[in-house]
Amino acid sequence: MLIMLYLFLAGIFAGLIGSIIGIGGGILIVPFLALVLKTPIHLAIGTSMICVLATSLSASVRFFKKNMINTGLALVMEIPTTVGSIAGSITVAFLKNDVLFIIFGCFTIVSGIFTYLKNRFPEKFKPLKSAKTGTGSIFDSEYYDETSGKQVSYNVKNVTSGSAISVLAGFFSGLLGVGGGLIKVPAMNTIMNVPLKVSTATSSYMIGITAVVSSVIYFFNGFINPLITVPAVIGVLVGAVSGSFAVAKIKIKHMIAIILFVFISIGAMMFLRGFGILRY
Amino acid sequence: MEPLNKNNSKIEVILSCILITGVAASLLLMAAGMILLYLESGSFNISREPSMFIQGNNFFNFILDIFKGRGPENTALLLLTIGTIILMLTPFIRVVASLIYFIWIRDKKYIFITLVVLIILIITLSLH
Repeated sequence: MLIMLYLFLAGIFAGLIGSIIGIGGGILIVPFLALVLKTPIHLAIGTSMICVLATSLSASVRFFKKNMINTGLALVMEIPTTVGSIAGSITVAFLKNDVLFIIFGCFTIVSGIFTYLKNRFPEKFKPLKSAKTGTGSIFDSEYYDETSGKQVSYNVKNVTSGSAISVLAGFFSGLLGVGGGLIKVPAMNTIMNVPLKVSTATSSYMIGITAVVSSVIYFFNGFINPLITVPAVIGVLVGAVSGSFAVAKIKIKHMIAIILFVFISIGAMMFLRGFGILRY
Repeated sequence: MEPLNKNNSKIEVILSCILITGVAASLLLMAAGMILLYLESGSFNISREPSMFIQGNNFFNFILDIFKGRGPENTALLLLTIGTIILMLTPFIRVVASLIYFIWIRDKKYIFITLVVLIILIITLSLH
């Protein structure tokens, strides 16, 4: 059986694609394990969470070097996110396989559409008008924008509403074994007026803590098997590091339609599997 | 109050070092475990025995057990388990380091925030 090799390759693939299109990779690992390798979905979710944790840690190192993480804001938002992820990680143990497949399917389809829109129409992703007025907060900061070559300062607004959405992001993260950045990043960007790059970096940094809490709860429930997790984690790290080099050279716009198609197909398969239509 | 991100390159370097060390140490142990597993069994088979799963009542106790030599008996599996645990503990150490830093610079607001995060983490790690 070459199952460990498949896990390793799946990890590389997820890490590579994840770092190129800016997602954690969990959304690709869970379906691969559950649909292709026929791993029980709870174990797939546990494995994915450890992979997400590894990606978050290695990505944070990169973001630190570019000074793009707002560590103060991250600490504050970690509190609601963690509470949400505890709730999600406990809930998953009570959910039947079919239900998880269905929720995961829906989440993947929505994520695919969102990723498509974000990359296809980046100019539409701007802070809301209400987020632009009013005074800032203690989280106001600045970062160096590589594209424009300028130091950009920004005010952080609506921390309370942002935190409320983080609870939801944490919940889905704990429930599905994904990072939850797909909810957090746009929320921070549009509601809290945090620049997209800083939102991405800060969200990724926060996922480290969220993932620890979830993976410890999974661990209590026996969802983590090192023999499955380790090959995938090694693969994800290799993939993510290679992806970070490739990302500068690849134009995402050209492949974004393919990505949308892949996400919707994966989502649909998970969905059908949940309803028992897709059996193998 | 000064924004945290300005002039705090010191803490960012420390946190960055913690993350790199954690990931590298864990990756090293995981790779060693995988190689050993291959040498021992001659293949990369996955046993589905429940004993192969990390499972326990308390994360801290589980770590203590490993230190006392009561972890998985198979060396390869032990390395894989420790590698996974180091990965899981890295963010925890990161929060502890942040707390020490905020106490050092006497930033009350952030000491409080970091303490809340740390308490949530400790509760999750020790309860159940």
